[in-house]
Amino acid sequence: MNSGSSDRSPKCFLNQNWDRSVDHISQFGSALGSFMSPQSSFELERGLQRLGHLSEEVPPQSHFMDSSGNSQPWEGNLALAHLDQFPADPGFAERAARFSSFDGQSYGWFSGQFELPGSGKPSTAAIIHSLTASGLQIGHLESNRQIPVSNGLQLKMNCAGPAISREETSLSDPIPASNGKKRKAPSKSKEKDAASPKPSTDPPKVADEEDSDTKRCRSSGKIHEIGIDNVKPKLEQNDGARSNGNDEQKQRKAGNDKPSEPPKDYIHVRARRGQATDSHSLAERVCDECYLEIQMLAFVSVDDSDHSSTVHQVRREKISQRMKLLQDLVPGCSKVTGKAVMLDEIINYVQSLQRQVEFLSMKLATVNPQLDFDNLANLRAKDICGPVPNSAYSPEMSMVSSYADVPQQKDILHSIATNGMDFHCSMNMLDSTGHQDLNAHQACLGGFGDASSQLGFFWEDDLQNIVQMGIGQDQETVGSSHNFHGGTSPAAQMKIEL
Amino acid sequence: MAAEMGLARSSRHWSRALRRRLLLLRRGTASDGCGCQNEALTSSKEGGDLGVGANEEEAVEVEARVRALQRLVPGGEELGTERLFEETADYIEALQVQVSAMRTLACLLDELREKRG
Repeated sequence: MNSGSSDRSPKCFLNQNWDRSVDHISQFGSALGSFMSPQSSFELERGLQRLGHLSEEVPPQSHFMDSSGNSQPWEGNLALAHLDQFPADPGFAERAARFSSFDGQSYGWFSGQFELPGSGKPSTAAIIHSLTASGLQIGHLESNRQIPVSNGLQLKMNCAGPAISREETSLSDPIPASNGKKRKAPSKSKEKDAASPKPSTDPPKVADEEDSDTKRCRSSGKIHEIGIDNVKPKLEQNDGARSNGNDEQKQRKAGNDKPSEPPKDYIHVRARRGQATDSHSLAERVCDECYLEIQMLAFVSVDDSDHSSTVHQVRREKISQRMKLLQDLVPGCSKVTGKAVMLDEIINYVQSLQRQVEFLSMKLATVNPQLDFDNLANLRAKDICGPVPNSAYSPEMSMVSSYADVPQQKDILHSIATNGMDFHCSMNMLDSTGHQDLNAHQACLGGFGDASSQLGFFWEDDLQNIVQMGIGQDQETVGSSHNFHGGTSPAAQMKIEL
Repeated sequence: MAAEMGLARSSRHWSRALRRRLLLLRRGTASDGCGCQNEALTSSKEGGDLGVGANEEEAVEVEARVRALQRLVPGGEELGTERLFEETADYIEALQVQVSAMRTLACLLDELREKRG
């Protein structure tokens, strides 16, 4: 059943996410799309689904197993490590990244999921089960952490059902042993609290959960009454939307912190704004939080003499909220106290992420130079350059002219690359370089795409030699070291130019 | 570059700043003068905003780090502290997604290449 659900859920996640793509999901697609031509991006999507079958062969790139879940070096690609273990479900992995990034508090349990199933590739159902198991052991709620973990709670409600309903929502903060895996137990308690259909404590908290349910369920037009009665319909609603809930959990996981002082009006206002924040990113949710807090505090604070100090306090609270958010995002920051150190960590983390992106883009450019970048995908090779006569002169001329004329260059070069006749021509042209390997013609027909893309990258420079080198090197194996060198220069050139 | 193009798609402030930067690079202009008019504003707010118990040294330290973060996050120079933190959070998420996407892509391509032999 696990395998079956895991087979279903990747497609479920992918489909639903492509439908509801927002910010990062669209970034995911655009990140891929920017690497590949539109056609190949669709193929990539299919390939990613296929990757699920190849996942056994893909070793996890870093090990992050840590029972505490707190002291994992993020240099080791913390958020990515478990993604590597999740290649079966790329969409899920991506959302898991956001999930774990959104709510670093729940990162612990996320890592705990890998421990609970034991080994290998945890399926979605395994995660759900582990969530349930971990959720059952949580028995506390921290009053100050009211995180609208709507999706987590939905997941819990869907999966744990009556078991969760029995959980308490006390305001104390005991941390069970199982929560040792979790970075922030309060978040789990928040989930659990949100999941509980019988919030025996604060009605505002219940209303908060209702609000998160509201936002999640897109019923934000109404202002929900605060009360226990509304929670049960939500439960049923969530149960009915289980598959969506799993998806929404990953989509909408928010690690927002709110001050523990929401009066009733806060809840009402929030319900109104729920529609605006539906499925939005973390920080946008923070924006809304901020806006609502302003309203709340405007409602609360009435003394003019204290106005400036109140405003200051508001700013400080907001800033501390943001700091907490960032603390959750950056792995390993939960233990850090003090703004300066934490800001250091954040800065280092951002730098490392940027370096990773750069490194991976270089790697992708070298490993697979046939990926078209930018608008090279728009090339239509045969339109500009028709049948080229089999002479060494004309492709050379076209090459030269291509250097002169930017728009046509890529097409011409592309056509040169893709046309077999052109290959011979360019072969003649390349005679001077000594890369005469007509036998490699058939074998390297795929390499023409490489050549064309590489050619297209730096038409503006006096790179004829490099172009020839690139073509010649592509005629060898794609993965050769020469190709690497040939690949780095186009990538570097591309970066410089673009 | 392509990775940055992928990152530049969202509607966040940092993403728009990144798009502007990419556009400038593409057009060949080397101007990187972002609007720094609010930096002074940030500094003036910094002392009182970051915490009640922050003494002078800490405030200066924190402010230096905020500056560094402003330089890191595209478009950060224009933002105040709290907005900066918001944008940083979103930027971090986007970077994480980007890295995971590229990593997956690299793995996939490696697999395909190996299968191709």
